[in-house]
Amino acid sequence: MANLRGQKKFVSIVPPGLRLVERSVLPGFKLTMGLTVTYLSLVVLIPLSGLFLATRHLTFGDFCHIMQNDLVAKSFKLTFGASLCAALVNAVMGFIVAWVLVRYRFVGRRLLDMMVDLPFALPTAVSGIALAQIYSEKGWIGQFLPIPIRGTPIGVTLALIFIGLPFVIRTLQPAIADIDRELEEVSASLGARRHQTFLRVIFPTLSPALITGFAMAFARAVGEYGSVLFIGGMIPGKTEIMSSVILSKLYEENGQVPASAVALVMLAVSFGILLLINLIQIWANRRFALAN
Amino acid sequence: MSIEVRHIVKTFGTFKALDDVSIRINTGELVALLGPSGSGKTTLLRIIAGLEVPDPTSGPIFFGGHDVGSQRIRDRGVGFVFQHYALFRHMSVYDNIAFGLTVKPRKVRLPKEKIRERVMELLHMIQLDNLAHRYPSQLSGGQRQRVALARALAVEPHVLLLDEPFGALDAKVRMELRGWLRRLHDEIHLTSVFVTHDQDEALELADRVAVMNNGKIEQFDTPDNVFHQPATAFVMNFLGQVNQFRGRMAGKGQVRIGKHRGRPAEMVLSRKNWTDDGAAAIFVRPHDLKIVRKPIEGRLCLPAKIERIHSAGAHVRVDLISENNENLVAEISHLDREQLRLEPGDSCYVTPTSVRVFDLIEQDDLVEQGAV
Repeated sequence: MANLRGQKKFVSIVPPGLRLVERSVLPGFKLTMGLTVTYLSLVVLIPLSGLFLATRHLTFGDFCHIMQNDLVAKSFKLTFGASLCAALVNAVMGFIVAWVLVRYRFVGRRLLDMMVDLPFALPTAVSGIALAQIYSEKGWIGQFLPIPIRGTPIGVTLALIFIGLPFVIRTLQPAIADIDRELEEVSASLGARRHQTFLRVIFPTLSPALITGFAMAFARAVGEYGSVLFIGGMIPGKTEIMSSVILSKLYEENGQVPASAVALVMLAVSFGILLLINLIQIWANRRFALAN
Repeated sequence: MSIEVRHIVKTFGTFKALDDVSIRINTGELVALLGPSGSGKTTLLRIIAGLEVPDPTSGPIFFGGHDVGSQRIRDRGVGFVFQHYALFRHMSVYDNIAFGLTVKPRKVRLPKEKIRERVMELLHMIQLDNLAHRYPSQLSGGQRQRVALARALAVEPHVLLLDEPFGALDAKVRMELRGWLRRLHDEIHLTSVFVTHDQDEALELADRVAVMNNGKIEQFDTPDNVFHQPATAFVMNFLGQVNQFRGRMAGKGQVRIGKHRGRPAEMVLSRKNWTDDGAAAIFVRPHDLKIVRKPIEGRLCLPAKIERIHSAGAHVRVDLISENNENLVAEISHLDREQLRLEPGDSCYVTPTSVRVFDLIEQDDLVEQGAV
C-alpha cells in the first residue's frame, strides 16, 4: 500500500515479540542508542583494540620473554601488590570512617566529610609533592620514622592509599545509611551481643558495597602515576610501577611493540580482576536480593 | 509472664508520646494496643521491649514481678516482631530462625543437632517445612512474617511483642494470619502484646484491648466492653462507624437534638443523672439507626433524605443527609430495605434505637447511656 506521505515504510529488523527495548513514552531510542555505541567505540573500544593491533605479530613466547625481564616483573609485582595492599587498607579504614560519618552526629562532621573528597579533587602532583615532603627523611613525619618512606615500596603504597581513600567511603556511606535499624534491634532482641550483631548482621549486609568500593580503590591504584612518581621516584626495580615501565619502553628504540605488550598484559590482568570482583558481586546480590 | 508498667512518660523533643501510662497485662493474655497513628501505642510497645528508654520520671516496668527497667532488650527475654519483618536478607529461612539460638554464649548454647531439631519444629509450626533453604526475598509477605514470628519464638521469650504484625500484608493474607496467630496463642499461651490501628484486628484477636489516644490509654477492657460500653467519646468514635449529633441536655432525662420543624427534637432517656443544660455529643451506631417512612408517635424521629444505598454486602448501608445537613449512615437488613422500598432521593425518617451521650464540656466523660 502506498504510504500517503510518500515516505518509506519502516521495516523492523527485529522480529515481533523480540523488541530490543520496551516501548517508552520518550522518543529518541535510535538516536541516543546510536550515539552511545559510537561514543563508547571512539572513546574506549577503538583505542584499546589498538593495543591488540600493535602486538599482533608477537607470539605467546615473545610475551613471556618481555614479562620475564627482571625490571618488568618486579614492577608488575609492585604495581599489583601495592595496589592490593592499599585497597585492603582503604577497605578497613574506609569502613570505619564511613561508619563514623554516617552513624554519629558531631561537630565538624561536614568538614570531615568534605575532606574525604580531597584526594578526588587534587591534581595527583599536588598530593604527590605533599606526601613526598612530609614523608622525606627530614619531613614532618618522616624524621620520626625508623624506616625510610620516600623512595621505597612503602611510600608507593602510601600514595596509593591516599588516592584510593574516597572510593570505599563513598560507596559505603549510602549502604550504611540504608541499614534498617530494625535489623539491629531484632538481633539484640534475639540475644545477640553487639559484636555478634555487627559480624553476623551488619557486615554481611554491607559486603556488596564494600566489595565495590574495594574494586574501585584497587582499579584506581593500579592506574595511578603522578603521586607515585613524587614519593616513589620510579627507581627501576625498586619503586618503578608498570605505567612508568611502559613509558620507558616506549622511548627505547623500536619500543612501541614491547610497550604495547606490557600494556596489554596490564589490561588483561586489570580486566580479569575486575571481572572476578564483579562475579563475586553478582553472586552476593543474588543471595541478598532485596527483600522488599 | 505478666507485664506491668506504671506511670510511663516519654517525650520526643517537645512531643509527649506517652503521658503517664500504666497498664497491667496478665500471664498468658493476648492484648492489643489500638489507636490512631501518633497515639503512642508503638512507643509503649518499644518501651516494654526495652528498645526505647522512658523519661526518668517514669515508674517501673515489671516482668512477672521483677523490675526490668534497667535491663537492655537482650536480657529481657522478649520476642519482638516488626511490621516489615526485619528478616536477615543474607540468611536462609533456616538461619534466620536459628539465629537467636546460635548467638547464645557457648556454655548455654544447644548442640547443633538440637538447634536443628528446634528449627525444624518451628518450621513445622509455621507450615513452611519445605522452605528452610529459601532466602527471605523468595518468600511472600505472609510467609516472611511467619518466619519472623518463628525466629522470635525460637529463643523461648517470656513475652511476645508484635508491632503492627499484619500491617504490610494484603487483606486476605491478613485474615488468614490473624486466625493462625490466635490459634497459635491458644496453644502456647505466651503473654503477647500487639500494636495495631485496625480495630477489627484488635477486637477479633485480643483478649483485652487497650485503646490509646494522645499518649494515654482511654480504655482497657475486653473487646465486647470497648465496643458496646465505650468509656469515652474517643473510644466510641474510634471503634466502628458512628453517627454523631450535637445537642443539649435539657434536664429531666431529656436531650435535645438540633431542630425539628422549628422546635428542638427531644429524646427521653431511661436514666437521668446528668447535669442540666450542658452541651452533649450523641452517638448512634449505624445499626442502631432505624429508617421509617412515617414518624412514630412518642419517639424521636428525624427527617432525612437518602443519598446513596450500598447493597453489596451482608447489610445494606444507607447514606442519609439530615435536615441540618448532617451526614448520617444507617445499616439495615436487605429485608427491611425491600419492605420499605428505599431508593436514593427518597425522604424518610430515622430513629435511634440506642444512643450513647457524652458530656461535651468534659468531652471524655461518659454521662449516660440509654435506650430510647
